[in-house]
Amino acid sequence: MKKESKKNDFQLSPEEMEILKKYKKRSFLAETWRGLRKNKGAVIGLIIIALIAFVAIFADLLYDYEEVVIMPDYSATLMSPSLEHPLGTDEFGRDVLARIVHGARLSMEIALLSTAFSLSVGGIIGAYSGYLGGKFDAIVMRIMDIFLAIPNMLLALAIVAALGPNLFNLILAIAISDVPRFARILRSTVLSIKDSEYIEASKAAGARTTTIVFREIIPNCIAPIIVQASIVMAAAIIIAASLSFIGLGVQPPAPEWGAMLSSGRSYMREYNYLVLFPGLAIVITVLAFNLLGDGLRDALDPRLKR
Amino acid sequence: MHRYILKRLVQLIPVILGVVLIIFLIMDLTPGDPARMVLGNMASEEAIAAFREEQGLNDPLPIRYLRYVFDMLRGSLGTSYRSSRPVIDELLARFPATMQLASASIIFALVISVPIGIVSALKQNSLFDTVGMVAALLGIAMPAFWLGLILIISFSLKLDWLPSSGSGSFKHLILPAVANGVSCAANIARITRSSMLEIIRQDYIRTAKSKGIGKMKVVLKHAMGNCWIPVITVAGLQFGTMLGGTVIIENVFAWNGVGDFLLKSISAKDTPCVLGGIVMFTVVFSVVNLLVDIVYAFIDPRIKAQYQ
Amino acid sequence: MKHLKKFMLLVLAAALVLSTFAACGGDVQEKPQPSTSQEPSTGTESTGTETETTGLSRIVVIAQNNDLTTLDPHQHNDLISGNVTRMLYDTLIRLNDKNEYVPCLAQSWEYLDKNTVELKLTPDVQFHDGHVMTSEDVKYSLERQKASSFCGYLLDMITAIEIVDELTLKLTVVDESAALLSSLAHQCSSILPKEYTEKLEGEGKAFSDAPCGTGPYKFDYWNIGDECQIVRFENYFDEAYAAKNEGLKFRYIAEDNSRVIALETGEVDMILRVPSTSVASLEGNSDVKVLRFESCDLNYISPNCSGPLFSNEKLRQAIAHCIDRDAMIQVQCNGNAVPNFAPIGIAAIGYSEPATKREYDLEKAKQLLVEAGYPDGFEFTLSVWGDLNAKSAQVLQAACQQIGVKVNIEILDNSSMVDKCGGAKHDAGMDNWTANSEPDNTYRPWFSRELIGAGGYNWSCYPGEEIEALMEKALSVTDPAERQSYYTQINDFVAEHAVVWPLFSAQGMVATRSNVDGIQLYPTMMHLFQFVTVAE
Repeated sequence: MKKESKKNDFQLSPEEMEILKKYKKRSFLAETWRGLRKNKGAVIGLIIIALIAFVAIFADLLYDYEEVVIMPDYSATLMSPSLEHPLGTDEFGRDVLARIVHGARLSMEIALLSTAFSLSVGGIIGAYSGYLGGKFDAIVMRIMDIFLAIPNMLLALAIVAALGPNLFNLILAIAISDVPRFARILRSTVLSIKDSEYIEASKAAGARTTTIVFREIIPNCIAPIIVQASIVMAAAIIIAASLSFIGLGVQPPAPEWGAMLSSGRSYMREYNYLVLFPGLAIVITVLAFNLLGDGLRDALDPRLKR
Repeated sequence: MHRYILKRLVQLIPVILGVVLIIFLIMDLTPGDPARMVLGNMASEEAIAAFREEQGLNDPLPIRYLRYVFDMLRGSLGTSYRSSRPVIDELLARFPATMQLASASIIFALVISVPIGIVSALKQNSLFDTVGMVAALLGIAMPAFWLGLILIISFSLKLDWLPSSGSGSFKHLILPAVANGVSCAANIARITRSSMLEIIRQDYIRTAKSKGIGKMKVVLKHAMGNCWIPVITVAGLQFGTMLGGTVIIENVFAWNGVGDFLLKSISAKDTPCVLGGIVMFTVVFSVVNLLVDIVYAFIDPRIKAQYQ
Repeated sequence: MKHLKKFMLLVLAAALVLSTFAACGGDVQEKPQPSTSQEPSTGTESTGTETETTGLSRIVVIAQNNDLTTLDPHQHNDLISGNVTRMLYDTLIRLNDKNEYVPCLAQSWEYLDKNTVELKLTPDVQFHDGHVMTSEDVKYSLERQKASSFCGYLLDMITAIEIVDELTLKLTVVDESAALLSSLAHQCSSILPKEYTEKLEGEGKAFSDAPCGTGPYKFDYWNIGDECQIVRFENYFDEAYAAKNEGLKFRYIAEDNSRVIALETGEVDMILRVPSTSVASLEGNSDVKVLRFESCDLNYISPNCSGPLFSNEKLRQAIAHCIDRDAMIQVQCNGNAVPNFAPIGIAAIGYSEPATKREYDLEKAKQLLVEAGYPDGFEFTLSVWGDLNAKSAQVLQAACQQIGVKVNIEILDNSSMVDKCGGAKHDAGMDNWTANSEPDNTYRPWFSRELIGAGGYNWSCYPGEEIEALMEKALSVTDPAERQSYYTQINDFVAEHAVVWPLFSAQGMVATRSNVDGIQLYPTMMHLFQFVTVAE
């Protein structure tokens, strides 16, 4: 496919293109929502995510970070679940529920930021690669293949090990290891739509490559992106918890779920609730994202519709 | 077919070189002076300068990378900062244990997931199907290391049935293999079910059924053969996830393998061992994927046709 | 076609299964070694009676929390490897359990003049390979050690080694140094057989793979990352220190809980470094016992006294009053530690209780903060070694928060710590230190001004000359009481000016099965295992 398309005598007016786009967008959202509503799992997932997001956003109103979440109370250490502390307290006497609530904010932050990063970087790489084709595509995709040959967890591990453990590096590590996934998805979607009529139409209208990629191609890849993003967010939460569990993630006293498991581990003989609850928080969150991802895929992927 | 295998093998080479390059570049960002790591905190500045010169640590990055690759081709991955032993020896000493755990996990995963997937598909929307698929969703959502801790609490500390750590006997293998294999099993069960569903709906199965052959026979004869393709693909991909998980599972169960060693090396900033360990994991992963592709080629008539 | 498919699947499955069994097989092949050497002593009757006549106990299984790095005594300076190498090799001089220097491979030592020491070696000492030790071996070993970057510095005071005859050597030393004896008694100053070592290394092999010494045990096998076994050496020269068991097996079990469970189930006879969270449950178990001893350990924080923040003495004193030692001990050690205000472990030579004790007192801290010119607080980074220390760090962090000081905790590994704090690039650094029998080995690396920023352990970076002057005085005298008086002055000075913020000394703990006896415990953690017996 040549980059420079010849000026064609067949042209769509800008107004016509707007209408075309709006029509496509509206139908896409509506159709997705209709498909999603029918899927019980997806609805449950969506509700759980909404709840977790709500708790994460208003975490500070529920429990004060400085005064409750990280402030030790040496008179109340290692207390089993009770009315006052529904999920018990840890070795510092900090309320486990308060920490899990603030941990939700941290996990959501990590998942959102890392996915946003890998989505934008991977998305752009993939979209250009698919659209331009040729040597650029071949080289970029070889590089992506190489990244994909390294298991996600190990790549993230290597990056954090080299850069040092902190929140930023953790997000960066997870993000980088997910870039090739988005790049590939975007590329294959672009390949499947690049010769479709409306792209041809834009080209015919003399739009530049960048304009076409950003205004035509990327919006049309939203469906597969959303599916992939929800799956990647779930994986990001697990990887973040795993790395924090082995001390390569978020640093204390931040209430990251994996870090909570790590410190609770040395008390698991007598105080197993310290290991139980943060883990359950991870399972529920990841489950919700997976349910939503599955539901979206069923709703968006015409091949799976039956 | 040989041509296909050969082609895939040749394709593997640039991938491995690229992987080594990426990991090498990343690990090169590690702060701290390797010379001081090796010589200890009490070493003199002269000794450190001499060591840097001798080990070629002052050379530019491309030269160091090339040297690493050439050494790798000769079977050397450098020397451990901590033990002064060759990294390859350290890794090979622990490699069998890791492969034992990984193979046990994948066997466990296949053994429980494929039957569940098939039965779920055959009895779609039954209670079994629902329970099975909810369990699979949970299995995917559970971090392996957390499951490991829960298994230790239940089966070692509370029930005292199985050992919580160490290696050596079959009993030691059970908990880590289960913890490591569950999410893999869940993924395979789901893919088995959906590919089975797809096949069952195909015409030839309907025809076979209508001809009155017993249902199970149909399944075994036709459907099973075809549903292996996605199952094997997913199992191959899951193997990579599992290798990553091994790092943490080995830590949880004090399993003396490459993963545990990798973590220890990271915390000791023993960069050659970290590099070597990740390279080893990645090479194993690539080789497993290659095997999967070759098996795939044997099964898939389209690829087969190309090379015959 | 179809057959081929099935065949390939079978091959794949078989490969997986085989690799599992091959891996198991690998284990099985390695296992007979220990079991054949162990079982005759425990299982069968005939050797059982033999054991009674020789009075030897069976092989003792000891679990450690880390793997050995090497069995070459000159290539490490860590306690984990040292527990094994101490049993394989001997030093010229021995430090006994009464803190006295007694003869070992050297029968006597004598200062001929200020700069010359004459050593007379013990005759007829056999190496494990049958060679008899001579002064050649000693000269070779000391020179080999001097060249080592791990422990060569211990012998810096020796400038020349001269062989007088088969069993006599002359050491030329810089000055009459109080540290000479302690250095020669250090676990790293082990004597190796010259001919054997040179031949081995000449063939390009590592000494660590086939170690040979004069110690009460000889090397049996070492499965890297798993276990190392050493067995009793029949021809050990010193009856009083000969092994009372048939051998020692050191197992590496990294995870704390796993190590404890292995002891509870009897998989191992002894665990070193008992995790404090398990002490209570172990003490409630009649099958095991917890042995406590005072340790030379110290957990401490070194503020950077040359840095932009903590060169301000009032500021250092303010933070020193934010240290809630009781809370730290509770959170990090489950109560198994004692508060410490001196810059050296409670049981170490050189310790004294400082005249000024800066106790936890936030009011005073606030006041000092104002005097220091920071009435609105400030922010600093606390570099911490290890996850466990991070617990104490969080205690300090919470206390500081209450007076408006923000502490950022940064957990680093050992080498990054040395890089940062040793390079004087830190605000404050938190670590543990185990002192050995020579106080100068603690005070010199900690306070020597030439080491500030040189990548070593002078993390307090105190620029004044006072401590160094006292340190030199302490080294120039040999009378223990007089030496101690100088160290007392250092401890008082450090506490007064808050040069270091000492936190606590963790209790030394070793746990064994209840039928295990005879371990000789040292505050320096350099325990002796040759007297350990296991009653059947």
